Amino acid sequence: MKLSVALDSIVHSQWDGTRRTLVENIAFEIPQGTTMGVVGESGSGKSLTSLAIMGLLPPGMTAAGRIELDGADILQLSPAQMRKIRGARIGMIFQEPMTALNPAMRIGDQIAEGLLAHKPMSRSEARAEALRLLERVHIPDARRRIDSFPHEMSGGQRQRVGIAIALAPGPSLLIADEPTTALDVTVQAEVLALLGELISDLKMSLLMISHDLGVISSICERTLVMQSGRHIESGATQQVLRNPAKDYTRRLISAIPRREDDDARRLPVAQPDETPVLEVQNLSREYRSLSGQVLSRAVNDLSFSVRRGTIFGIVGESGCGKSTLSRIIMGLDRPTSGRVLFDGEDLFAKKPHELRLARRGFQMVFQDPRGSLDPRQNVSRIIAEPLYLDPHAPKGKEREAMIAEALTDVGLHPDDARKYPHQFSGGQRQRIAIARALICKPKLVVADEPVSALDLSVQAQVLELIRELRDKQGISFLFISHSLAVVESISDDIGVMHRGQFVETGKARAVFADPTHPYTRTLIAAEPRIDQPRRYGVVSADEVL
Amino acid sequence: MSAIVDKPRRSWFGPHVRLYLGMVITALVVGLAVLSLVWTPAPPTKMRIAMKLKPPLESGLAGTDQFGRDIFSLLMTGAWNSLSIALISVLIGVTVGVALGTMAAAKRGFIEEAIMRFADVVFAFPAIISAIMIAALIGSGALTPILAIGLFNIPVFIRVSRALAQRVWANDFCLAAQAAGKGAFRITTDHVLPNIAGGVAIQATIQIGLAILVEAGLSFLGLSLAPPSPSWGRMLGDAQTYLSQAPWMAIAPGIAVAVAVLGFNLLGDGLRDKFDPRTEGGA
Amino acid sequence: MTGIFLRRLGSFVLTLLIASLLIFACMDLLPGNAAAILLGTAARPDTIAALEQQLGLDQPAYIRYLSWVAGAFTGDLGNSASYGVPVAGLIAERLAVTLPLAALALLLAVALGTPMGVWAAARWRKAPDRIASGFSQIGIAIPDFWFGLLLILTFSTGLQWFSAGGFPGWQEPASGLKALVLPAVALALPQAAILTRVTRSAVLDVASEDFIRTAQAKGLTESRILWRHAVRNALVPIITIIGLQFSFLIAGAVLVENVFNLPGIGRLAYQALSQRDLVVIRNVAMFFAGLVIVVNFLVDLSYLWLDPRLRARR
Repeated sequence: MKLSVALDSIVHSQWDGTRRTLVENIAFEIPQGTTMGVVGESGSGKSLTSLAIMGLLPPGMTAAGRIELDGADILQLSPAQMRKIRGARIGMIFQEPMTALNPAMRIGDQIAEGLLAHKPMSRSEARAEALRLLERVHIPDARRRIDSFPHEMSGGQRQRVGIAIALAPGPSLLIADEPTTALDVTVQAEVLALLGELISDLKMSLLMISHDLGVISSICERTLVMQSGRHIESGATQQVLRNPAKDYTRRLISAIPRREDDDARRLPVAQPDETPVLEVQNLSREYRSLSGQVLSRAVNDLSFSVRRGTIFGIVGESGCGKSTLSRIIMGLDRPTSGRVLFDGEDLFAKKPHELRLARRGFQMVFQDPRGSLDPRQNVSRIIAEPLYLDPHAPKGKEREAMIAEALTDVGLHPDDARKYPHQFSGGQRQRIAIARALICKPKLVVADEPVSALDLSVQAQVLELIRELRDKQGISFLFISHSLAVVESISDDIGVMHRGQFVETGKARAVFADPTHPYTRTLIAAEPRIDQPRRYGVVSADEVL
Repeated sequence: MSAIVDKPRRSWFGPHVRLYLGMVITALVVGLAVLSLVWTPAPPTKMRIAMKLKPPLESGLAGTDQFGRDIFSLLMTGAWNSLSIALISVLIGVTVGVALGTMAAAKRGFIEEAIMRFADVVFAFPAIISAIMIAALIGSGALTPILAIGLFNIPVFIRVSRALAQRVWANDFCLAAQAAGKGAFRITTDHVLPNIAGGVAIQATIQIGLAILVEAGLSFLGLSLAPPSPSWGRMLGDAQTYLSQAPWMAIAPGIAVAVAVLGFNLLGDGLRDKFDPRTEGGA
Repeated sequence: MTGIFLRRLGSFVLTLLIASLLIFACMDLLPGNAAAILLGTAARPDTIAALEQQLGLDQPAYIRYLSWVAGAFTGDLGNSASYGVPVAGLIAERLAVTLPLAALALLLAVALGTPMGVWAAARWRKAPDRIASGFSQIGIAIPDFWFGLLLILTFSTGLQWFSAGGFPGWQEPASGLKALVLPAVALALPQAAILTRVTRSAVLDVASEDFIRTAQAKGLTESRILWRHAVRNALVPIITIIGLQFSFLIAGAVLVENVFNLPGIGRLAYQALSQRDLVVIRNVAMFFAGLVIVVNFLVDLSYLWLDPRLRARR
């Protein structure tokens, strides 16, 4: 089987007759048994390209050109003929394992359904085959799980089911559209390993779509880089990553978070008797049932402190309690026990009005820059909101000056104050959110996944801004993220969080250079990096150098 | 969803045809209603026995009724009565419903549970049943339909505004406002209300249409404005007696109700299409 | 599963309880009690007092409320002042018209509205969608009782296929059913229109979900994707609306019974109002409210069966 794509364009025709070209002149080939990655930022057209191959473009979009499967142009096929190809010869795996499965259908039936559509099989044969497939994708206790509903499984298991569905009718090409983006890093490694194992065992080809260069380089032999619907460059993955020919690729690679050079960094001189800006002592947060039974401990006896003018990074997978921790520190939730000292004073011992005044000193930045700004307020109202904490906050001209200063600090123009959030890009919105955190001249900013929703290049700019604020204004950050690379690149100290506790804390450099706890080691090993050779799938002779 | 490639063509239908159609119809109905305050083709309440039961065009645009009153003039004045009752009752529903709905979204736990139970209970009373109960207590008149329709609009707006407000509360900017020390009330006025206003207005437009429909039903049973104030529903009630002799008496007021309701529904749906394209629902 | 069932049952009983209290408060406690309203303004105080005693109105409110609730279980709801017969029997007798009417209308509405909505969604923005949308837009705007008048005009006075109203009773089931055809059609039209619209948008909502794309990527046929995946997951919103619309169906029944002169509960309520028969009004109101609450409770329970995600929650 060989797929060769020569797309002239994908065009979106709108109601009023206007047409927008979303993808232009994309050509690549996937010979039998090879793996190909398509990488690009949001809006690059990489997902549309994969949908065009499946004949599943959204209504209103048309693909022009040729998509040949073993020499036959599948763009010319009738819907009925195309159905025989979908599933049977090309299988597809989607991003969100949560929503990609029918919530009202047992997983066994969802696998069997594709089998019955393509193969002359009885229901019981299809069920037996579904069971075999579940075992093939390493679902434990498959005989029992075959009658489960999707919501009864974990995210990683659901993605395994998604793979089993794609695998079922025996396609020779798999298309995986961001298959691990919604997963934790350790689960991502397992799913990538499974994909690699399957394509080498079953001699399948793989087309992997991802925004993550690390993921692509861990499994794909060849890579195509796309930007705004155009082909930038393509070639052997190692070639493209080590020796990029185009500026855009180079920028993309340099935007991958990496540790800054120590020389370039002014390390704060710690006074031995200095009180830390934030000190968390034996903090616990339990969730209890009505009868008082402890259901879970989101945060379990946690202690750490943030030094002045430094960034403390917290890294952990979903459900480790990092968000509960940030909510408690921001005073949005109360701990079951333990103390949070800000500037040496216990926050939860304060009276309400004292707490309000103290709050000026620590502010928060959220993950989704779209949801963290009220679309009905202009930038100046958004930024001024924390001034509500201060009964003596200046009004009028003086307040305008403060807003202008905050905007300048984050690299925006003072005139932007009159605009509304929808007039800004994602990265600019996150800058506005940071400006809001700065207006009260805080000593500490709690940033909960502040760059996770951003494209790589924008992410690099926002990280740079955070470093700059630390260095120039001496603001401390509590930086929370699921991404090891991001936390490693920006933190002075880190804590690795797992099940409500830190399994390891220390200077970021030391922890990453020489992790002592097995969980930290698992995390670091699971992180796909571009400076390593391909790990999954068939390793061909020419790549083993 | 069925078509893989949907061939779009330039269409005079356009995406906002419902909005424009709704605006035109609503403007027409409201215009005629307002006009009736200063001018009607004939005095709407004047009985002219000599002119009774004349078919359309023989006397006036829509004929005359059993007392020789001009039906088109009655329809115009009836439009004013019907619209004002609908508007007032929906306003009652919006005021009480949004207050309770946003409170339910802001306060979790007991208060929310109590408000939603209250909405369930009120919702269990069809407007016509509460109108019968209210009429038994205070007699018929404009107040009966206003109270009955207003009452049944309250749970509608409790549910709508709570659902919309919950969507707003899920945003991080509400968390940011909490971090800025704002309480639930302040966040509701600063962030929630401005963000749900559009959705509530759209629902209100549709509810006005529904209120016109319900009011017609109530006045058909004599549970609304007392005669001689013209009302579309009572005109239909009168027409029932003369159904075989003067069918036009039954047709014109029904068309008036349907057109008015259609106008407000199209307007509401059109606004929703334009401002909230996520819910590409609605027919 | 049992936990969620018990919780729903609890809130169902609570809703019924509050509704009954509300009705009792309106009908019994507000100034101007049943006896005074029944006898009119000209009545002498001693006649009112006598009637009050006869109706049990001289007892404390909570006793009257409790005896009313107890009566609901034993079937003793008191006597109608205007008819002079037990209210329970009166309601039961009228139920024989209203229940078949409502059931027939609901059946018609579902049989017409849901397939039409699915058809519209499957042919989104094509001719069928436009036709179905136009039908639902107009159907929603047409008052059901007026549509009933039009039906009488066409099929009774015009074509003379049906009688213009009245009800011959169930001695001959065929003629009884025939008398209900036009009223049921009148009642079903707006309901079918709303169902078309809701089904269409519910199916369209599901059609944009990720798992539909998964189903397409499996190479399934369009009809299987439509029915097994899209419609199956659209059932919850569709049934929700059927439940919510039930209250409008009841309101419509009151009107349509009056148009067609059917001796149903709706007509009973209307007549009771003109007779100022508060005992009947109170019980009919409670009956209708109770019916709406029961239907919505059943809809609630159906979620447990339709949505496996709810089943699992405890």
